[in-house]
Amino acid sequence: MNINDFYPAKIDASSKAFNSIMRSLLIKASYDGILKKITDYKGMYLCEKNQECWTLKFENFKGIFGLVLSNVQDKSDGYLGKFNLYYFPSNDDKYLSKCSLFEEYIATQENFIEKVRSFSSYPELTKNFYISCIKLFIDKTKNNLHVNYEVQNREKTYTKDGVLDLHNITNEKFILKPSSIDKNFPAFRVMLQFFNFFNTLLTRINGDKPDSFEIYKTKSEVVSYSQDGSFEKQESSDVFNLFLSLGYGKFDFRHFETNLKTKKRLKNTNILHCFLESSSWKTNKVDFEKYNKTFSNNSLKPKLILVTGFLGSGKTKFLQNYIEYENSKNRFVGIIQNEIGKIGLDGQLLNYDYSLVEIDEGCVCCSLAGQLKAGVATLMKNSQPDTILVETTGVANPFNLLSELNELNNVVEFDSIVSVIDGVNAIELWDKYAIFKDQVRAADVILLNKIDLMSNEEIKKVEHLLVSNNQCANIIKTINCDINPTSIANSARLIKSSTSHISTMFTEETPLERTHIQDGISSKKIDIFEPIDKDIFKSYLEAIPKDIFRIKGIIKFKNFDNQFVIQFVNGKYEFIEMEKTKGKDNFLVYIGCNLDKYDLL
Amino acid sequence: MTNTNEKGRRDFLKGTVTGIGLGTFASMGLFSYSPLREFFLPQVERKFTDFGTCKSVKVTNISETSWFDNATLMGNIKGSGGLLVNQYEINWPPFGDGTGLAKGSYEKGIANIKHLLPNRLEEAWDIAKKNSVNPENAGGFAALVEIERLNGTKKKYLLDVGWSYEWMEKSFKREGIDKMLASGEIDTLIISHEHWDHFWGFPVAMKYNPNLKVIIPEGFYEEGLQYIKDSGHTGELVIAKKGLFEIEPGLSTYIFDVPIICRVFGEQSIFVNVKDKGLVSVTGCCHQGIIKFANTAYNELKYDNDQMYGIYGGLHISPFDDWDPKYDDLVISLGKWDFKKVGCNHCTGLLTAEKFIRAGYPVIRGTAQHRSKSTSYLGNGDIITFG
Repeated sequence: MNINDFYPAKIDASSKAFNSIMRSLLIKASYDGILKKITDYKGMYLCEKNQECWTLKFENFKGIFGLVLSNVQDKSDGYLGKFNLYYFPSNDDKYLSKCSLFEEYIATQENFIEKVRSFSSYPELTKNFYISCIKLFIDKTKNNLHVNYEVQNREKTYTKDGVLDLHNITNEKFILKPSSIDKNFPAFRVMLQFFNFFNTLLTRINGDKPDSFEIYKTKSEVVSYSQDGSFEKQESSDVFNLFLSLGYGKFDFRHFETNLKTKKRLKNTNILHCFLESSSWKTNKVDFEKYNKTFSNNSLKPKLILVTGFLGSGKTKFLQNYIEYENSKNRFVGIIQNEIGKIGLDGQLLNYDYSLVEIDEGCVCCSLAGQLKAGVATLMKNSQPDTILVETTGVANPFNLLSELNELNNVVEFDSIVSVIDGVNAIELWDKYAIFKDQVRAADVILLNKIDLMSNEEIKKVEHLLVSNNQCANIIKTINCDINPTSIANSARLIKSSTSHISTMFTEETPLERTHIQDGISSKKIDIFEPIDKDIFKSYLEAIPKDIFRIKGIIKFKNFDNQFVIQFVNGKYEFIEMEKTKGKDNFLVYIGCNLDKYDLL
Repeated sequence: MTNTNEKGRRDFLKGTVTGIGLGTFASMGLFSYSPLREFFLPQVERKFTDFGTCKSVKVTNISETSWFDNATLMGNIKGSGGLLVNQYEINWPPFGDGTGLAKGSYEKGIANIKHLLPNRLEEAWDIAKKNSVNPENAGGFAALVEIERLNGTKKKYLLDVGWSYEWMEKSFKREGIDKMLASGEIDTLIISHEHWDHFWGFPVAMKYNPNLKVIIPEGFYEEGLQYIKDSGHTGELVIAKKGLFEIEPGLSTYIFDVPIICRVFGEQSIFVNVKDKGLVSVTGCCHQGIIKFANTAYNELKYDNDQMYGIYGGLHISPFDDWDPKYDDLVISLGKWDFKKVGCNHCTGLLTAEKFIRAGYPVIRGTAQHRSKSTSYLGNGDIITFG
């Protein structure tokens, strides 16, 4: 392995160098979308307070993994860095009760997760929750890297004299009875998650599987403590130490491992050996695509999020926020867009850092699997986005799309339905439009937007309405749809399976074919050739009948150099001065009921 | 045995949510066994390295539009295998060799244009255009940093050299950089990192002054080092090591040993200590993340008023996705440092810049000229002065 490939700087036996090496490896991991998917990686935080430490999250574990450098040594032919690996269980974690009572107590304290973020600053965290020691050896030629994991199959402690409840001392009530188990933590099993992640990272950086993989085993001990605080170790048949050793490079690492002779080496045919090898890090030529199904339920296909929301709810803002956040993390978003009365205006309102496919004519909810498929194909060809957001028309019925989305299964991974709700108008829209109801009911995530324009009571009222009609969705309150995509991903994951479930329940209750035509909604584009007086236009908008709930377009006002983008939603409007670009045609698009009845501008 | 304990544990934990100090556990007979033998916690103390002061610093944005269409750029990177791909293999200009996306190499690419560097750049770029993937998308990042010393004299430094020869020639001429280089008014070039949009326009600077002193961060790859030679550089090349690199009183750079997408390593950011104001930082992209950046300054440097005064450049929050989304917010993390003047552009998101403004941050507005896209940014040709 060429260490310079990922770490061209100088290496020595300093904590600075080894922190830096680990940091570089982990940053590489965060750039590697495939690695993240196949190892269920869910994010990382680097803490620089006092001693640098890292915390990581994986999808299948509710707790947080912690990693910190514990020692550095200069060996004659290389440098050795030792890292401690921790697992900090969350409050609803199945591993919580496997910890010691002491640990469980700490983990259930209020600021626990907050503290975990900088765990190296808290001795009660670094002394407990330990699961494994990871040694990283790099030889002085920088051509070989060796990683060794030392772990017990389980960490087991007993209380010899029992633990008494101080609140209840007269009754001699034991919390833990004498000679009972206090801690029985499956350290090896938990550590395997990190093991697979870290090795796969090394394999992907190396471009090839490790040159050697060996497992050693030694007996280990259970610990029991007495009332006076003394610890006693006892050899036990059900605990043992494992040393898992991987070598990238043709270097004989054995001499830096102490006492190897006293350890029993497992044969390559050993079942544990075979099991561990059947993982993504043991890949010959790094063609991870084909291992996809074997190693992970996650696919490497882009995920698809269906974004619904009534007109003017803030969908465009949501898309903008989403795109920008993903861009800042070097990920890319593709958009499939379709608006009733499509003018291509939204393309102008949106930022520029995304790939857009507009589906023609009609609207997503009426036609469509074929077009959607073509849209996805175009996006994949042009820019291979990590996420595809399908922006349905404001009046689309997401239930109509569910069956169509099934047909896209082999090209995308359907992630979730996000419905953006305009909190201010929610109650009114609920009474008026059946499609609005469907948008609420179909959602995996509901963004209750515009809460800055609502009173606390109004928020409560709307929340109640949403919850009582969709108990599965995660409701997130937003202003300007300002939301971190990770929050959506995290919540969507939990209820993903229920999307189809709700949809079947819903199918029994209402016919699926409702579209916007039945609600009498239509749109109309009006070209405007002359500059308009701004004040007159304002009073025009203020007097607009309720049937017209959305106007958007571009207008030139008298006495202004630049054109303005007009946004009108349910009686509220804003003018955004456009930047000096080439002149666009002036127009307004009206969306509403019974448009024919009204005399439009 | 475990089962009978379960209820006792649960009751206990429920009953003692608050109140018990860890110390009292001993009196109950509860102890925690730690298998750990070694663990060191070096105390990190603020070092307060003093690198002097200057009177003011002026930054002119020569170009912040690194590329013009992000979809095209990301498509190229994705199509070449993702973020870990080697930038020299993508087949972007000027190192295109006509073999198409992801099949390029520095050697084959440079062979077509080497004989034209650094003086016949128009011809070189024309050849590159024919051989490369999406040459029209290339722009570049470059800034002029002008230090006013305590005695009133001024000194100009060039930060980065952009990407497209064509675009950078144009941008240099617009801001008069060509003349400053030729006359020796600018005699030092600081390269923030090896990325295509900051470094590949290198011959454009060489054309006007091949004898420039060039300061690059430790971690350049072979191709990059070779490109400096192949561009006809005859001046001094300084490879700044990880950590602080002092240039003159009040001006220093800091080298972060951070891996960056498309196989680049290391970023060099500029720190300026403005007398009576505080620390000003000028970054290329800040790939190390604003959090690390500000923490480093705090831990390592001595600066006036102990105040982070201003910042200019691209702002990345962190190279990681935080597992807790509530912390992954640039607006919040920047707020902690109380900058008095913020000039952002380049890889800072537009909405983020707008959020800064809404949150009341002292964002200096731009003029959105020369293909820069928003007034929330300091765009091409805009100037910001600190001090």
